[in-house]
Amino acid sequence: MNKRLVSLVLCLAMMATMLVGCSSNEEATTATTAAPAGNNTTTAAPSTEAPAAEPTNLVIPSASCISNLNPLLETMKEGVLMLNPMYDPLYVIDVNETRYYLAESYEVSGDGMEVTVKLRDGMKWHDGEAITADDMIFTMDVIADTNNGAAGANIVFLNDTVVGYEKVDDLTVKITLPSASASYTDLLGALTIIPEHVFEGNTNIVGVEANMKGVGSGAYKLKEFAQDQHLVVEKFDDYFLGAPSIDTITFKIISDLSAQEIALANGEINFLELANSMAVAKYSSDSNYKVVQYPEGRVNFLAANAFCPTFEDPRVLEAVYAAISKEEIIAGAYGEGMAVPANGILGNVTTFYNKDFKGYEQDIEKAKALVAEAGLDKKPMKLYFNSERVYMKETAQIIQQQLKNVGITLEVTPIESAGFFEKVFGTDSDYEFYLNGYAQIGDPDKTVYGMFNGTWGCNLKTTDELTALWTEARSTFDPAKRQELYNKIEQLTKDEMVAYPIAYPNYVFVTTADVEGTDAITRTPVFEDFTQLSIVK
Amino acid sequence: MAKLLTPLDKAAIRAEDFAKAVKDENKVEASFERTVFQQLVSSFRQNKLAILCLIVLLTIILSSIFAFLSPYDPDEMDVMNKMAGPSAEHWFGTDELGRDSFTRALYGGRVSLSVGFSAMVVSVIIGTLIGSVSGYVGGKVDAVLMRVVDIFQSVPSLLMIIVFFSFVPSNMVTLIIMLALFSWTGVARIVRAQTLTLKERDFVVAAKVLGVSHAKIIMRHIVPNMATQIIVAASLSVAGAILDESALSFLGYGVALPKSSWGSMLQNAQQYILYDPLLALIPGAFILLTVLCLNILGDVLQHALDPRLHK
Amino acid sequence: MKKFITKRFLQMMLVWVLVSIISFSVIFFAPGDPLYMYMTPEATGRKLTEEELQAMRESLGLDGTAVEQYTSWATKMVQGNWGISLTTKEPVLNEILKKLPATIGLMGASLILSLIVAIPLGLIAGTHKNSWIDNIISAITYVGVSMPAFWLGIMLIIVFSMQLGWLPSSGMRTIGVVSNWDVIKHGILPAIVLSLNNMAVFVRYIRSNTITQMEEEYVQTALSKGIGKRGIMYGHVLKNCMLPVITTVGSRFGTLVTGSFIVESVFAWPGLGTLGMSSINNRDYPMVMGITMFSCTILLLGNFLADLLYGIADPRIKIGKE
Repeated sequence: MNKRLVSLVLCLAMMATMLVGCSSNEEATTATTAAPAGNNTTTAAPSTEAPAAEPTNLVIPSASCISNLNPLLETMKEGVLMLNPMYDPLYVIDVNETRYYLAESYEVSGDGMEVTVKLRDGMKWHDGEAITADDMIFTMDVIADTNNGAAGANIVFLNDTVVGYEKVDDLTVKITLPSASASYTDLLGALTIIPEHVFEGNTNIVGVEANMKGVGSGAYKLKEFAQDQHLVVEKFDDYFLGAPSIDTITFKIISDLSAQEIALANGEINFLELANSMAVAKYSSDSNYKVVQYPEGRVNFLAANAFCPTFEDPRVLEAVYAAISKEEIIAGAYGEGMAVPANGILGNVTTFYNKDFKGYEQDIEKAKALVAEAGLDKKPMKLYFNSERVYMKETAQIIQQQLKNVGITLEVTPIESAGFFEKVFGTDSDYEFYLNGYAQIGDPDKTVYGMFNGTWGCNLKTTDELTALWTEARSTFDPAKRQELYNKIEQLTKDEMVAYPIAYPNYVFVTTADVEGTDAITRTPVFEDFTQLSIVK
Repeated sequence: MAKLLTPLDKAAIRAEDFAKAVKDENKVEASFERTVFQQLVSSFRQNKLAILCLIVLLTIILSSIFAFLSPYDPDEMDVMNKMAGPSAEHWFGTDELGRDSFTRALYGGRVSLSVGFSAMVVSVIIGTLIGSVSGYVGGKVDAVLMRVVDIFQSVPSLLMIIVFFSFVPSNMVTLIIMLALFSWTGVARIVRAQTLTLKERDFVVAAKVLGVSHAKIIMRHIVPNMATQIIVAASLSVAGAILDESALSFLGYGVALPKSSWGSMLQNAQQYILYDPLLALIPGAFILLTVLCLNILGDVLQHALDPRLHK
Repeated sequence: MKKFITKRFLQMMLVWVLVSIISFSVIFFAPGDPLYMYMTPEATGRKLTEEELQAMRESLGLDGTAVEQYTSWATKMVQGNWGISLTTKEPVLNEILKKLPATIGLMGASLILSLIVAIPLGLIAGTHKNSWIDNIISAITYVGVSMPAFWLGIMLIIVFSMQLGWLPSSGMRTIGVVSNWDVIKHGILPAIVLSLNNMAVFVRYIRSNTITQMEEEYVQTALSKGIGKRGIMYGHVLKNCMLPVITTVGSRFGTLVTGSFIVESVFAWPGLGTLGMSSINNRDYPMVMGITMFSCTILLLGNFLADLLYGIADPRIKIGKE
């Protein structure tokens, strides 16, 4: 008898544990009523269609979710995408124009050592407080505290030295640079400011509650955030550029790309990034959708590990580069219209890009001859790629095949992001190649500089001559002279066979046909200015 | 992991251990009368389903072995002809890089099957060794070894394998080791239970009296007498290992490129599932079919060899 | 009985400690730095210097030898402080508890679903041993244990979300819709996929139990007395089958935990599995450790309960003597 009782209690305990979990989220009988009884109750998920009077909502999917509502702590792709409508930068220097957001203007002193930023007057945080120079100073203090690991470190530090910054008046901040930098104003524009009063002036922002408040400066303010599910933001009527047209923007977390596509087909979302040419073809021919396509501003390349002893023989790289056809990679891995072949290390939306520059050309006979001459067929090589980035896996396999055609064995290994960056920004010498890419819009001194002159320790070969050229280009302010210097850098980088630029990918997305203004600004990441967007029924 | 997918999993094994313990005596007796081979042959003769499964399985294995007879190189790409539908040239169409899907599925079978079988061999060896020593020696050794088994069964193995693979590149060898590492415990439990009953039997006791060394007794008298149970466990363990491997490959921890197993073909296909569902259908069907046959075979064997279930 | 429970419990604790040590060492000695993010300019636009990295390590409690770190981790863990997640900068336990309802809900639903399907199937198969219906049911169970869960998930998405458009393909809720039905609709496919394997195991288990029960004397007696088959089924066989069946449920907790990893990643279900996968990819060590130990605890508790229940259910097993 006693045993029975005990067993009963235990049974109940087990059931209870399950039910507690269920009821706490009101999803108890999730599956017990499961049988999809194909009657009228099983209509597809609610679509965004609504009568004209109803509020408009733009739904954008994101593959992963942010965990803070503080843009300084969310530096990955999803952070940039999801927090964009809530926080504005100072200004954006695009290839042909400069668009001002929080800043009204900026000025550079004659020697290039001082930058003065003037903020717009009368701007408000989402909670109604005024946006002032104090907030900007506070933000820079937060970034300067490296324990925060905050974004924008390249704005507050220049060559590992903190820049000087001081408040001139309530709307003006003066920044003093330790050394002249032609690209600094470009970098500075990207600074997103966080509100000092919300953080109560505390510059240690790790794990503080204020990160979740999401009080920002952008066109949209926080409405609802359910982690790993969605972020909903609503229009901010006091926005300094005027309230936006669309009432709410929703970011929905859908990790799988196919699932995102299904969601688009079901009308659950309005926007989808495309990374395969079949999808582009499909949506382009469908009048319910609009496909927008422009250069993403990335350069994807094959890098030769500077620490690898294999390259002591210069014929190795010569043979490998001659074996590769970037056209085939673009046709196979990227697909038609998804990228253009790269010619140099500056991207096609980089300032000083030289479209007449000639990149590496495929020459199979030469490659085969070199392989035979240097005995490369007996030397298996290794390549790593980032398994979380699009196109990389396909690119790796095509390169593997192209090298096989000239007799070189290439072992290709995927690594997830974390391990990948550790590997390729480290000093290991046990591998030859890796596939990587960088975003480079605007001044090449921002990213390409760090990638290729050794300061970021990216494993790429540097020479004294190249480093000197990069340094010179950084402190030169005359555009014509800089153009000349960057042309030289490109040529020299090619001669030294530092890396093989493969592709300039396009950024391609599709929206439902009712979304207007998505191509008003053709710059990544989307959408820089949400006030340009509207939903027209 | 093994716990997730292995059919004859811990629960079942454990339950059967208990249930069998009572009736083990007569079973052991019966199994001595015929040799293992004879038992196998006769059990197959009686069961048409088993024969069918055997034929399907052999077909899959043989076509994987003779995959080189295909006119296509599994890694040769033809980017101008990618994602083509089924045709006379490409029976199952081509994949995202223009490679022949059918040929790749056959070569993928090589990987999946060899990972599955090797993991089984390793786990059966470890399991038999530990199980028989544990059961034979008993006492503290048994207690310690069984705690080790407990530990391995209590670790969320999938999590540990993924953690491991996020630091160590996955390839065939590491895959086999990791799969075996978390699946030998089932075999160990069965072997231990068998050893416990076998060691009380006359011929073992006699051997002990004659001064035969313990190692020899285990190797010569105990292990051979439970060959049938081990074979059953092995066939189910192959099935489990193939499923586990496919799940790991699907999560991105598969064999080195350009090689692919059925699981990694599925991972590739997922991206294009809306445009070419066939890419996902084929490797999945291969996995299902293989594992299904192995499971049925294992079960048929078990029933045929177990007089208790044979009534 | 008490002695057995105490002994089993102590054993469980020992295993738990050992598992924590093993997991901790795997994570600690694994190559790779949890602060990898700041060692490259990827995240912040600048690479931190060695001193700055060291300062950050200290502030996050990531410095010291393995023993020091383990001791401090274990001490805090027992007190309920599971560390701070490196990615979200939130307490690990909070993050786990936030995700727990989704996972428990899915696991519970799948368990209930598998039992609801398995009990009648198992009984029917057992009472109609070797008939055509038994064969069909056993065919279903074979397919059930042989089906790669993620593949089934993908196929279901293709059919029910893509082709028919009946059910959502991922996530747990539609934004702006607060209804149970919405969550249920999202949960149907994942719950089916997660329950298939368990369902098959339960059916086989119930079937063999039923067969054993049917051969027991009391059933034979009842049958010969002319009591209806249905009455016997519900009155005796089912009752005597249930307890052992429920005990197996405990030992299936492990499958549910690991199974939810795969199912959640296919259906983007916002639960522990999704959290686990992303923290592994982000090298969020405190989080990985927390989730490992949490899953391990569920697993151990399940086994513990299963053992106890089994001992109680089957008087032939003299648990006191083990």
